Amino acid sequence: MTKWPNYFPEQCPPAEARKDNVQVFRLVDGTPLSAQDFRPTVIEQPHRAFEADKLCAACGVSVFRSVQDVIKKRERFKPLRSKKIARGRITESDGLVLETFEPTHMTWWLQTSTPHINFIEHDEHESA
Amino acid sequence: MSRRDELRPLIRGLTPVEVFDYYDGPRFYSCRDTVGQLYLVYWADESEAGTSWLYVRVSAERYAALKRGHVAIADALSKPEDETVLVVLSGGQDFVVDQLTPGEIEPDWLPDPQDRLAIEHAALPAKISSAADLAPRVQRQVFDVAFEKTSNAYEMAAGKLGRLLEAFQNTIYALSCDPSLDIRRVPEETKQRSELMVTGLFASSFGVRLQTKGAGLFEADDTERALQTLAELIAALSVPDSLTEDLHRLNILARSRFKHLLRVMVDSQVSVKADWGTPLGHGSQARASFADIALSLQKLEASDAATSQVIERSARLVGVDVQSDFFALVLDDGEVIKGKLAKGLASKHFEVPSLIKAKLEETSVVDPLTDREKWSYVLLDVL
Repeated sequence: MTKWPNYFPEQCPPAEARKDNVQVFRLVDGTPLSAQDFRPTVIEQPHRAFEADKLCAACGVSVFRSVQDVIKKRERFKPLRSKKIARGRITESDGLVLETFEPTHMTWWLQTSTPHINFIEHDEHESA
Repeated sequence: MSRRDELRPLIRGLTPVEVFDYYDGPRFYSCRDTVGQLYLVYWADESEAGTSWLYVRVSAERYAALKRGHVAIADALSKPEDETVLVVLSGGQDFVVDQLTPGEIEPDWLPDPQDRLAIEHAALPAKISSAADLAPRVQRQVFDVAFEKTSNAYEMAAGKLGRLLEAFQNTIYALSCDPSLDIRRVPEETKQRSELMVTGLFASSFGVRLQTKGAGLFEADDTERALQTLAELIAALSVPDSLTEDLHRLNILARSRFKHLLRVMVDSQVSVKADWGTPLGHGSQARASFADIALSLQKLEASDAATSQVIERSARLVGVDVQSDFFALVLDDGEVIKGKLAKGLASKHFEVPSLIKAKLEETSVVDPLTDREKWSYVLLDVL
């Protein structure tokens, strides 16, 4: 049985979450990438109150299967507009993933202390 | 801009409705206040002072238009219907509230003017308040039933919806009768008390809001008990093996009608979600997948155990034909019932007419073609 941090609520990650090997995109502060770019919201914003059903998602980090969706997200919100796009691969040993909220959005519950090592800054002129 | 700290309790009391945009937490979502007023909440800025969120009051019509992409996000935020925008700056555990006019909104807080949501193409409106939230406000029992189809379409054949609602109502009628009563017909006064009204539709994929005609005079009336039992039965469908036994706490009419309701749901290929609320703010939610419903029905159809009962009745025996295993009785209330003789009775001597105590096996079945209830009887013994 996998041990998750104490701040995870019960039954989190959900039973449907899976180990997978997938290419994903995430917004980061810039190169060099670091583990700080992959901190879950509950750690990043410890005082923020989450509804019970959103708390589990906040224990993971947001990644997208589609680069177009991560670009759209960056354009929509001012605080994200200065971010860079990182592209990388989540492997089966990196934790659990599940499609949440939108078609290409995934929540990644990390089980690695070095999530950044499989990610590089994405060249936005190349197609994904 | 003016500081509006008196609005802090309002902000604290908002309840999230739905998330439109998520990135490491909800970033654009809707809330409602205690009287059902909707607000849009939008992540505007981050600074050393904290996180800034825009709060904009919105009508149900504009909310629907936003979700369908008919109104741009920037317009919904910067052109509020009441000309008022609240900016909530939260840092740590505390926050302050400022009121802005639309002209005071920083342009770069907003998304591109053409950026739109397109998350709902349904003709049905979103469900904004839960049954438990609404029931105390309208002082009626509220039972939201959502039929979810595998195709996830926001449409449903009229005939199928009609059969589903009729089967729901008939089950409620039967559940409103005392579970310990030996009933084969629902009294008219019970029907009047337990009639449910369709008061709205919502997307889910096809949701129907049902409400009683008024609140019960007593804390827990028959209809409240019936709705609670129906929610419990829907939840129990996830354990099909124990369903037959569970149904035996109900009167035989309710058992038969609930079984028929399952058949209608299987015919319509829907899963079901129920959300029940009472005027006192109690309630519960339950759901059953199509697979659970189909398996439960299969278990119930494997035997008549759920829809049969053995009972002793005082009656006048008015006809017997041992050749064709036929009998006829007149019950104390004048009703004539006819059926088959149990095998062991073929050689028994009968006096016709005579007053007897009949031991009967009664089975209630709803004809799947006509939806009409039928009763069949086997005379097991004459006592």
